[in-house]
This record gives sequence, C-alpha cells and structure tokens, in this order.
Amino acid sequence: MTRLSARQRPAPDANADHDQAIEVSGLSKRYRDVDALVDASFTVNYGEVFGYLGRNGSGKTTTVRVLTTLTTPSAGAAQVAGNDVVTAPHAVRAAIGVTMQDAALDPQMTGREHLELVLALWGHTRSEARAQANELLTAFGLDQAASRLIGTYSGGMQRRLDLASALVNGPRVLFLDEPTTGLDAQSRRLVWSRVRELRDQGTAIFLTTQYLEEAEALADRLAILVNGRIVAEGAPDRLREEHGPTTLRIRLAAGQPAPPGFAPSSPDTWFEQPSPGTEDSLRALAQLRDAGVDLFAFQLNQPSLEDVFVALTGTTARASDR
Amino acid sequence: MTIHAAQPPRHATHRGGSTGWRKAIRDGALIYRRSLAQSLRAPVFAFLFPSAFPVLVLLLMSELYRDLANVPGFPAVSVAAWMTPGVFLMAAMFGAGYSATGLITDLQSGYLDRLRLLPISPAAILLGRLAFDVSRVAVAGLVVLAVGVLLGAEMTLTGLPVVLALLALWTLAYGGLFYAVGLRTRSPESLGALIPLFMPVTMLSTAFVPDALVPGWISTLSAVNPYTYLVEGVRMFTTGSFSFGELGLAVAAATAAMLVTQLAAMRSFASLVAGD
Repeated sequence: MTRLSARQRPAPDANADHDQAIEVSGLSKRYRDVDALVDASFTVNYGEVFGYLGRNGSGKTTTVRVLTTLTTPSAGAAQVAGNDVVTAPHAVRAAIGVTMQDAALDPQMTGREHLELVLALWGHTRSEARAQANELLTAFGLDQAASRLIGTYSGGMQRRLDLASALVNGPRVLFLDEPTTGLDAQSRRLVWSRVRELRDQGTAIFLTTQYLEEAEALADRLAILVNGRIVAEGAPDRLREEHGPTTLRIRLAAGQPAPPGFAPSSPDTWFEQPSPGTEDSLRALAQLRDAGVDLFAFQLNQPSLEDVFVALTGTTARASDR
Repeated sequence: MTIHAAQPPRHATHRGGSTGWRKAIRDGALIYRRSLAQSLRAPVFAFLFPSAFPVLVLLLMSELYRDLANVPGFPAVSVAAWMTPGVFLMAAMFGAGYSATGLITDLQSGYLDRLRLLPISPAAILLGRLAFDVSRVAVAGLVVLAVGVLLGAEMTLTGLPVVLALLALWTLAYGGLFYAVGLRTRSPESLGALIPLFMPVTMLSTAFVPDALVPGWISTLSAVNPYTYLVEGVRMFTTGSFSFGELGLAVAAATAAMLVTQLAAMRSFASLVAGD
C-alpha cells in the first residue's frame, strides 16, 4: 500500500514558476474493451477557465479521474501543476482541488464535521480545523446549516459544501466535474461567480459541463469531446469562426420573392444566406440596395456554441436542450 | 460574498514532520471518529444487532437443551454456562459485515474517491474501520457475557481483558472475510449472503455440544475449525480451568485465521486505491 507522509508532500507553491497548469499529450484510457478517452492533448494556463464540453458518456469524467490521479492512463502523459499524474500523484493531489459529480458527501455527517475531517486530513490541528471550518461555512453561506446532517441539504448547498472542501488546501488547479448539473438557476449563478473569482485570483479551472450556456458564460477556452475524442479546441469565439456558419438575414416587405442567393427563412418575410465573412455580407447588402430591393431590416447572426456543437457532432449537446 | 483565500496547511512544519506510521494512526483515528459518529446516529445495526441475536440464541438454546446437563459426563454446571463462550464470540460474527458494508457503500457512492483525493494514508481507511469494529463488537460481547453470567456462567475480572482480546482477534479474523469478499465483489448484497455462514461455523465446533457427545465426523471438522479453539480459550475463563497451552492455541488459531482474511482484504483494498 502506498504510504503518504506529510514530509513527502512538497509545499503547494513548490512549482509556482511552472507556466502551464495542465499539460496533456496523447492521453488515452481504455476500460476493458471500451475506449473512454482517445489521444487527448491540450494545455490549461493559470488564471483560465478551460471548459470541457460533451454529452454524458463522452469521456469527461474519465479525463478528470486521470488528471486527478484517481485512475491511471492507458497511454500518454499528463502533468498537473508541474507534476506527472502517474509518477508523482501525491504532489499532484497536494496542488489540486476537486469536486466530482459522482463523489458523494457522507449524508450521515454534518457540514461542519465534514469540513473538520477534510481539514484534519490536510494536517491541521483540531483547533485550526475548527476555526477554518467556521470561516469556510460562513464564506459559503452554510453557517446556519453547519450542524445539520448533509443528507438534509439541498443540491445547491451540497455543491457549495463540496466546493468549500475543494478549496481547503488553497489549490492552484481546480477540477469541477459538472458543478452545476441539477442546480436551479440561482445556485448556478452563484457557482459561476465563485468560479470567476477564483480564476481572477490566478487559479486554473478545468470545468466539465454538458451545458452550452455554461461553457459560453465561463470558459476562456474549451474543448469539445465526442465519444472520447477531442473534436475541437480553442477560444469560444475562434470555434464559432471556424466551425459555426455565420448567417446574413434580411427582412423584406410581405409578398416579395427571394432575392438571388437568398433562401426563405422564418418568419416568412425573412430570407437568409450563409456569410463567409463581414465583407461578403456588406457586398451582398450593397447589391440588394443597388438592385432596388426594399430592405426593412438585416442581421448578421453569429453562430452559437450550440451551432458549433451541431456542426461538429451532428447532434445537440443534450437531448433536453431547448 | 467573497471567498477567503484558504490558508494552506503547514505540510512541512506540521509537528516537525510525521512519519508514515504516525500519519496512518492519526488518520485512522479520524476515520474511527467518523465511524463512531455514524454508528451513534444509527445504533440499531451498529450495536443492537450484534448483541440482540446472540442473547436470543443463548436464552433459547440453553432452554431448549436444558436437560443436556443431566447427561453423564456433561462438563459444565448448566447448558447456559457451557454455551456462553461460543455465543459471546458470536457477537463478532453478527457484527461482521456492518463496517465492510459501509466501506462498499463508500466505494459505490464515490466517498472513497473523495478520501483518496485527500492526503490520507490508505492504510488508515481500513485501520480506522477495523479498530471501530473491535470496539463496537466489544460492547456487544459484554452484553452477551452479562446475560451468560446471569444464567450461571463464571467470569473473573482478571479474565475479562483476556476474553475481550480473544473477541477482538475473532472480530478481525471473521470480519476480514467480509472485507475480502466485499472488496472483491464490490457489492453489499454479497455480504448479506455471507451472514448464514455463522451456522456451520458455530455448529461444527464445541460451542453448543461437548466434543464427547457429538458424532465422529463433526468432531473431526470441529478440530480444524479455528472457532473451536477460540471457544475453548474463552471457556477456560467461564469454567475456571486456565492453561497457557490452551490460551496459546486460541491465540494461534485466531491469528492464523486473521492473517488469511485480512491479507486478502488488504490486497484487494490496495489494488482498489492504486487506481484502475
């Protein structure tokens, strides 16, 4: 069995000069005959939210499990906070905070007991643990519920407690596995604002989600995962430019026929054409004006991440998405 | 609301740096505390089950076979006195599985992953649970012993720590089987299926009927049953016939059984925490 002593663990800032928070190259994980993750490569910087977008079963959690040292990869290499996940798992664990969607809290413990246990395992004395647990409970709005069993907490409260316990060691890299799945809109916004605060403090955040709005709202860069393969990676704007169809839409008076190059759209006085770029759209509009077409309105529609996702995968991100 | 930057723990300086073993014991104590708090919130399965069933067995069986004491050559004052040692050790057998089920539940719910992400000594996760098993079963054993004494068994105060130590060894030996099977199958249901095992183990021994009064084949099986030696070890103190040889046999049998089951359990656990 692996022994882990306080002495073996480096201080959390031992590798602070290392510029990349996460470096992954050719990472694969095979479970028996299933390829859960195939040849993934990406980097995540400090002070950045990296969105990891995919449907259920696309390999998001597998990636998190490998990067957080819970599972060993079948091939490839990954460094987190400057340490190899296979050869230096303890150093990785010392530098990271993790909230796992499928890592339950103990329903039979109170919120305070849970945080005190986590703090004590991180090496705090009993009185330090008590003091810091109280601070965290207050910071996360759980002080009223501190002495209640976690089993009685709402989903949002559990998520906040989970996030609080992930921050106990002052992690420089934070893994959030679907942190808002199943939360109401208010709790979701609360988690989002926490994530932004942490990013602004310089924390690297690896965030998996199946919500396109969430990736859109939070991610500085993102990767889209389909069946264990990363099919696109980059800043949301760049992905939109590269993969999403921008559309020029025009509105004419009722009963007008479609101008050349435009297809009917909805509602029925609207017509549209794909727009390769802004210049092309301006030229198309000028031609319409020159042809004497009476233009009521026009729009240049940026593709949403949803459009990018559909373009890349041929499916929507979630079956239940609007 | 703002997040207070969490204060990193003082890894390097904490208590001058602790060794792996000291850390394991400290962490084990934390896991023990968690188990204790959990059990006190649901005391029926933790404490009542391992004491209530053996007490019932003692009350009913000793009445059912009361007249056995009249058979020439019966080596005790009453059937209840004769049965007390075996039923006392049964507390360990009905207490087995409680903590192992808890460990499997932690595995399935992902709580074990949560622990693995913390700087916990993996050994502590098992040690804390095993230590709690021992103290929980000791409470149940004392209840059974008290009933036995009321029914005529002897017990000296000097013998008490020795029989509790034997009970602890048997808890680790028999309970280890539940951990080993549970960690291998990773299903709590398999542990439920193991519960009836107490029947052959107790019946093919000298727990209920003296060796002189059972058929030859049962006597043979009883002689290779480690439980028999533990029963005889405890019985020395309930009948007042102490011998070091017999105590040595009891300790050796329990230790051998414990090594087999606990090593199997630890191997499964080690491969589990190593990641797949």
